[in-house]
Amino acid sequence: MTPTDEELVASYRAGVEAAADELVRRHATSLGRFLYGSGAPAAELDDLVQEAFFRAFRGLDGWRGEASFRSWLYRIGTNLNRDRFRRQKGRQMVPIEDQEIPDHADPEGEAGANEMETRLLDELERLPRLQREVFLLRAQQGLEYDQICATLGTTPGAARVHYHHAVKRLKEAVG
Amino acid sequence: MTPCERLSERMPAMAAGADWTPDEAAHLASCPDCAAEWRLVKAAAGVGGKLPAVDPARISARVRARLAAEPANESTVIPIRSARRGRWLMGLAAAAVLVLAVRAVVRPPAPVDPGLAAPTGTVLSELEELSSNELESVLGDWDEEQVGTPAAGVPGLSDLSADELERVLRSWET
Repeated sequence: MTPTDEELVASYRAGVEAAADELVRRHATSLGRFLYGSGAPAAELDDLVQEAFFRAFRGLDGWRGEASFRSWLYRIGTNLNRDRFRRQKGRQMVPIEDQEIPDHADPEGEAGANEMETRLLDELERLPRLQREVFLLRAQQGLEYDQICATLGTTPGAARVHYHHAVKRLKEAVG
Repeated sequence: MTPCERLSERMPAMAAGADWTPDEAAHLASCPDCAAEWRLVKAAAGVGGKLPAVDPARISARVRARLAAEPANESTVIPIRSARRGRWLMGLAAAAVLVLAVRAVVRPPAPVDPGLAAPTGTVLSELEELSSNELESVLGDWDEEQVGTPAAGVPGLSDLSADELERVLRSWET
């Protein structure tokens, strides 16, 4: 049976270092994609994700399990990304087309999807921060609203309102 | 809950690979609003998917090396409560800066009559009257992007030194 995140955390705290590897394997990629959608440059994703895990593991004594490990980790990653934004006082987007994109079997379909994603990224940049983060946590990461609350420190009602406004604005802009 | 709301609730799961029921598929085909939201959710699910993935094995090795090398120090962790407090202070300080700037513009400096009572009706007192949910909403909408882009002539928080910020905050306590 696959251990839960909370069981892995307990194992890690009991000295099983491999449990940390499994937690990283489970969440590193999705955290990186969330941070990228939230405005982190692709070139900084490795460092941000690494720092988020480092702080999460080192701060486990401060995590009392009210929120899931994932919410705790994303909370730390979100704060790191906000700090990065404040330091740089602006966003330096690395266009997705500048990345090393692997070949795909359906180039026309992929091109259309890439175009939609690129437009979405552009419009996400224009959203207020909380709307952007709530939208990504819901639409990209599939989090429930109570998990979003634990991640962003807001209320379920506020999270729903932010999501609704984000969708409304994105529909108008991206269509 | 309306059919559109039900569909909206299900979209993240659908984007992750689940299947629509026949009723949901029929509604999606006939509702332009839901179809537009579905396109957004699908696109969001793909954001970052074409990037060179972060390497969990490399990250894991680095994190473990750092954990072994650096002793635990809670001061470097970002606790949830302090993040919330920091946001409160940012919002409060930004409100203070804004009000001080407005005062400077609309009311020229005048000798202070020590017999006058302390100013009332401040932004701070208005904030204090808000419920926690209302305060959460107000502060939640206060973006660092907005804070970092003050109106012309109004100093931004980033322009203040620590001492200046402290003075601004103290001005609200007196």
